[in-house]
Amino acid sequence: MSAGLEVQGLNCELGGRVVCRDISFAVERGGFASILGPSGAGKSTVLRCIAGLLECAGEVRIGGAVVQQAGRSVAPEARGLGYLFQGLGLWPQLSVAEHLHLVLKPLRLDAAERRQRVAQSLEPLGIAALAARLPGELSGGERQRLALARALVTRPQVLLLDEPTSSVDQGLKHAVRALLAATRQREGCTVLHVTHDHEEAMELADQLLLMDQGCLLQQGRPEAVWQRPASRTVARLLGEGVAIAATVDAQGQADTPFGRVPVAATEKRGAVWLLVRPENLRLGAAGEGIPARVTRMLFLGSRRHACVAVADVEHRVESADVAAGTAVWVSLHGLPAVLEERRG
Amino acid sequence: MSGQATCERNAEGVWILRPDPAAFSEDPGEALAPAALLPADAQGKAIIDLRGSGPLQTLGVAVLQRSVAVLQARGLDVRLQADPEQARILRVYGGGVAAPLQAEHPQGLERILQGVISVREAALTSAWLLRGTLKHALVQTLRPSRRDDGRMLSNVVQIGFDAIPLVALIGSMLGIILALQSAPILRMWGQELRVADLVGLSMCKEIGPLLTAVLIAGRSGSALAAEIGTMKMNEELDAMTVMGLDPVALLVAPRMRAILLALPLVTLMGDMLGIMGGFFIGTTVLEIAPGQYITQTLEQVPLNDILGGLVKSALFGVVIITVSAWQGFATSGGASGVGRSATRSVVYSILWIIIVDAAYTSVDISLDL
Repeated sequence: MSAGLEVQGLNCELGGRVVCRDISFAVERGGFASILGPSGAGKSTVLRCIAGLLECAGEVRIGGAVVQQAGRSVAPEARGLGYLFQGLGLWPQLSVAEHLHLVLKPLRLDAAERRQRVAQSLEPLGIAALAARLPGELSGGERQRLALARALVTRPQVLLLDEPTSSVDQGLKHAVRALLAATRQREGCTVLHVTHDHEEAMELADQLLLMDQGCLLQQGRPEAVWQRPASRTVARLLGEGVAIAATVDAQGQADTPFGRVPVAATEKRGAVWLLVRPENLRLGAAGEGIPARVTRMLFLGSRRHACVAVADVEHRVESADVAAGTAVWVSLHGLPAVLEERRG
Repeated sequence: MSGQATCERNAEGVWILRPDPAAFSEDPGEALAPAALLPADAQGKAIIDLRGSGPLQTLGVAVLQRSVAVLQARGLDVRLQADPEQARILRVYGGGVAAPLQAEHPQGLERILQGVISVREAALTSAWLLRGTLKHALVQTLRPSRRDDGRMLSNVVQIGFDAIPLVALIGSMLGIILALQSAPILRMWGQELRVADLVGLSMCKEIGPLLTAVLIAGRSGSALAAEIGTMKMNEELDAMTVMGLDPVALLVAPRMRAILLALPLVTLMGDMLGIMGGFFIGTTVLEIAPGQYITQTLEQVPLNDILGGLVKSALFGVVIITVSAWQGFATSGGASGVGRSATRSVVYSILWIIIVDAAYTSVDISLDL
């Protein structure tokens, strides 16, 4: 099956600074890929290069057709893209319907078809009744929907989403995510989504691309990346978890501050970094694991975490209820992942 | 040098340390820290060259602080060589970690070359913008559509109609001032009637077009630069580009059509009110008969001169829109960048108006001769 979007060796320099370095990935047709990375990682730059808004080196193919190659660059509007901008980029003087009509203008459709398309785009997003309103008269969620409708009205092959939930409050975030998932199912287009929120990326994507400092660090299915982060940076991007120093022996067992434990299958031997997530730790009966003291309790809504200090590193343990200051025994379970070899 | 740490001693005996960029990306362990590059017995001055290590993150700054502290404890004089972005981060978050060396400013020939390149880029951008704007303005005029004409008319109102009170006031006052200033000299020669020539000619040929253009540059040019700049900051321009809408056609061309219509008309009004100012002084203070003043003006201010002034004002309009749009599209750096663009659009517009005026007048005079 041919890829919906292919990027090969993408490099981009802005003001003499390399912002993207040798980025290569492919998203299958109809797939949903998320670029996850901290602010300033170069995520949005990748989107802008794909859209043709920035000059870059490398190759970009959309639906098999080359749109960017050495010495050849297809104009942004001819690339078959929908783009949801981080700042939305709505035109304040145009009404909801006028936004879509204006975008359809270059397609030279007849008036009846254009009206039909506009209605078809507004209806599923629940903003058909607001067609005459200006962006300034819409709520945050409605503005988001308008921007999405505008990105989709031309029926693009590839939809680019730049931090779609960064400007909405927590309650609306879930609604926007559900909307994106539903849109993807309905439209069937290939989606490339950029976020710094690991939960959002995991919830929506069937392919994760992890970026930091302009480099693509790891890519794969969310489950695979979650189970096998390639480095401490990747582990940090995925959220909870602490890297600890350990030594893996020939039998694939690791010497850790928690004692000798089996780890997830790995080729690596010797000094390594080991990822310990809250679910890898357990508070047990006396004599099980090593002794520690609960430094503080964290109430996180549906769950509670006990913070324990082991070998000068603070770990979180999923726990029912323990008072801060309690002496406990902590043990390591569930085949923690080996991240990378430890240098120095 | 990526991925390769180096340590060398230059001719002046200064140690130059170029650490592996990985040393700042995540906790690298002591072996990668910049301090570990230097031989244990090294003394004197050491420069840690950070350029090429990318933007520093919190951990990078911490690694650097630690290395600098270690080297300083060993009695070395440590300096940092940072790119502007790194220097900014160190200034804000570095907590006074070793003073960065002064950024290298380009010198001599390099500086001149950079200037030439930026002038060339500005010229190319303006030429591209001017061509696109005039092309779209022509197409929109030849193939009128309700939406384009609506946009143009609202701009005519904004650029021309709204400026009428200001231009009227300043134009008539200038006519009065010109008449009052010139009257004593002309009276010495018994030529009071020549006040009509002087006011009429100078208003129509020079002061009217120039003054109106400067006023419109301040009112409408800055507004255009700020509007385009704000749209750029809000990604509205990117949205247009991705969706196949040409910002030049939608935003700049209607204003070009509007200014080509409005500016000469407002200028003409300014000319007339200036002449009326002169007339008022001539007939009251200088006691010239009204009929005589009018006849003198009609005889001495030929239609060609009035039309020439209007052509000049149309050229000034082209300058204002091109310069302002160029500044708008070149906006960067958020809200303060928009303010900078608006200010620059006025300053550069006035500069270019004067240059175009000088060129036009020279050509005009040489043709007359």
